[in-house]
Amino acid sequence: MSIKGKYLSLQLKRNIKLCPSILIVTVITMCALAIGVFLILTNTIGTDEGQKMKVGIVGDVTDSSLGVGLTAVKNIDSSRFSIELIEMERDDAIEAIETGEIHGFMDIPDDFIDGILKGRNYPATYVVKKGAMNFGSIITGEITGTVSDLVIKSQSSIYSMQNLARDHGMKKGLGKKTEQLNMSYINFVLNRGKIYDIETVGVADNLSLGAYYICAIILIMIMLWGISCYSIFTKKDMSLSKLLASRGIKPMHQVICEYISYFAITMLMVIFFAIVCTVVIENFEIAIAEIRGADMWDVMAFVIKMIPVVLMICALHMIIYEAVPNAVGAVLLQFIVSIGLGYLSGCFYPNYFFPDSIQNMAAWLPSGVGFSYLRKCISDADILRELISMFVYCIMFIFLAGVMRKYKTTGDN
Amino acid sequence: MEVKDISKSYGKKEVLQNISFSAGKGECIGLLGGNGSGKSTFLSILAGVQRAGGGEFIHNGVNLLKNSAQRSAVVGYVPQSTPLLEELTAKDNLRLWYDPEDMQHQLKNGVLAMLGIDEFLKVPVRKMSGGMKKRLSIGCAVAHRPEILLLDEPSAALDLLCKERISNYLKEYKSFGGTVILATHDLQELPLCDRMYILKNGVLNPYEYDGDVHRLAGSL
Repeated sequence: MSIKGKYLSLQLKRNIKLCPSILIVTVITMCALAIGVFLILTNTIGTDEGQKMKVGIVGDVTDSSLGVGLTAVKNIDSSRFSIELIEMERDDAIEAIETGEIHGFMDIPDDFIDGILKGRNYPATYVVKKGAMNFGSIITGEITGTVSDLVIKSQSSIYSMQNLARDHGMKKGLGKKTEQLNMSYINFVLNRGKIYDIETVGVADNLSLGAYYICAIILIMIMLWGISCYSIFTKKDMSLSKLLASRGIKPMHQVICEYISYFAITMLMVIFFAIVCTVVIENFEIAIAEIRGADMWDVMAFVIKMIPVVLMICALHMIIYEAVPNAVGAVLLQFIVSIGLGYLSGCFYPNYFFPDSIQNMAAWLPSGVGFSYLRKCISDADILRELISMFVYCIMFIFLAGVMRKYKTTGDN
Repeated sequence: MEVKDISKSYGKKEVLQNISFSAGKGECIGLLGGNGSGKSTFLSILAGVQRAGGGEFIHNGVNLLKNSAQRSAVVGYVPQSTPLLEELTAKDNLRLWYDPEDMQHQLKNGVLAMLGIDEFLKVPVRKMSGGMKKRLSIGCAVAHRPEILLLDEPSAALDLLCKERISNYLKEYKSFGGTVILATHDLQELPLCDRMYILKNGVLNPYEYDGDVHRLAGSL
C-alpha cells in the first residue's frame, strides 16, 4: 500500500477512535438545539389557545338574542378556532389592549338589539390601539364586521318576521318559534365552515410543512456536525503535513485523504441517526404524510440520496477548519456559517418574506442548493441543477482547502 | 552532497543568501543560529517542504530540488515539532511509514530497537513524553533508510537520557555512511558535528567550536 493509502486508512482509524467523543458532543449539541427550539416554540407560538386572536366584547350584551349569537360564535362558528371572544368591562378592555392581552375590542352600544328591532342603526365599534392596525387587526376587524353584519341583517329579518306574525295575531308560541328561527339561523348561516374547503398547496416543492422542516433539520444537523468534529480537524502544528510533503504527499493529496475519511465518518453517523429515526417512525404515530409508514429501506434509500449533500457540506467544513486553525474560532465560524446559511436558505422559516434578490441569491448558496436537493428528493422532482451545483461547490471547497493547506505547510504563496 | 547558492526571500526580506557547503558520507554538519535566523527554513527547503528562491541541492549528480521523487527517497526529515497522529499509538504511526515485515524487523534488531521504540509501541502518542515522541519522530523519518538526515533541533526540551539515546543513534547512523544536517541550540549535540556553520542575517559562515560558550553565544 502506498503512503497515501496508508495515510487514508490511518485517518479513518483516527476518526473512528474519536467517534465516541464526537457522538457525545453531537448529542449535547442536539439536546441544546432541541431545548432552544422547544423554548422558542412554547414562548412564541404556544398551544392552540395561544395562537388565537383575542377580541374583547364590551357593552350591552344582556339581550338574549345577542347572547345566543355570541355563544354561537364562541362555540359553533368555525371562527372559534382563530378568534376568542372575551366579555369584559370597557376599562379592563382598554388596559388589556395596552398590555397586549387582546388585539382589540368590540364596543356594543346600549340598545344595540332594540335599535335593530326598530330599524335604527347604533353601530358597534371595533377599538384597537393607535398604530396597531396591523395585519392581525385588519383581519379581526373584517371578521367582526362580517359577524355584526350577519347578526344585524339576519336578526332584523327574524324579528321583522316576529312582528309580522304578532300583527297577524299569531301570538301563540311566538317566542319559542323565534328561538327556533334563531337556532336555524345559527345552524345554517353561522356554521359556515362547511360551505368551503381549504386546500393547502405545499410550502416548497409541494411538500407539507412537516416534510419541509424535516429537510431543514437534516441540513442544519449536517452543517452543525462540523462543530462536533472539531477534534478531527484541530491541529497543533503542521509538522505531519511537512513530513508528508517531504515524502512526496502533496498538501492537496493530504486534504483529499482527510476529506475522504471525514466523509466516511460523517456517513457512518448519518446512518446511525437514520436507524434511530427509523425506530421512531416505526414505533410512533408520525403526522407527516411524506414519511408516515416509511421502513428501514425507505430511510436508507433517502440516506443514499443524501450523499451529494454530505459530500458538499463535508467539503465546506474542511475549508472552514483550514481557514481558521484555532479550535474556538473555527467552531464559532462553523456555528455562524451554519445558522446564517440555514436562515437565508429558509431552514428556520420559509424565506418568502425576504426580498426577491435575497431569495434568488439564497437559492444558489450551498445551503440553498442542498436544501432544495433534499426537498426534491422527497417530492421526486428534477435534481440535475442541484447535483451540478453541489458538485461544483464540492470541487471548489476542496481545491481551496488544498491551497490553504499548501500555504500553511510551506509558508509560500 | 552539495548545497549551492540556496536563497530564500519572504517579500523583500532575504532570509537565506546564497547558502553553500558540501558534506561527505558519514559526516555531520551542525547549523547554529539564533531564533528566527532561518535554520528551519533552510532545512525545510532541503526537505522539499518549501521552495527555494534559487540554488541547488546536489546528491550523486542529481539536483534534488528539481527531482522530488529522488529527494523523497534520499532525504529524511525530522521537523521541530512532532509529526505524529496524536490519537493513535506508536505502532499505528509507524505503519504509515513502514511495511509490516520491515517494521517487525526494525523493532527486533534495527533502528526502532536502537531508538527504544519497542518499549512504548502500544502507547497513544498523546500519552507519551517529549522524548518518546521525538524518538518516534526520528523512527518515522528514517523508515525509508535515507542517505541524508535533516534534524531540526531534535533534543529541544528533552531529558539527558533521551538526548543520550538520540545521540547514540545518530553516531550509529553516521557510522553506516549517513549524512546528518543538524540544526541545534544544544551544546551537548555539538560533539556530534564534524563541521559547524553559523547562520546569521541570512548568511552562512563556518565556525570552529573550541569549547568557549561565551564566544559561541556572541557569534550567534
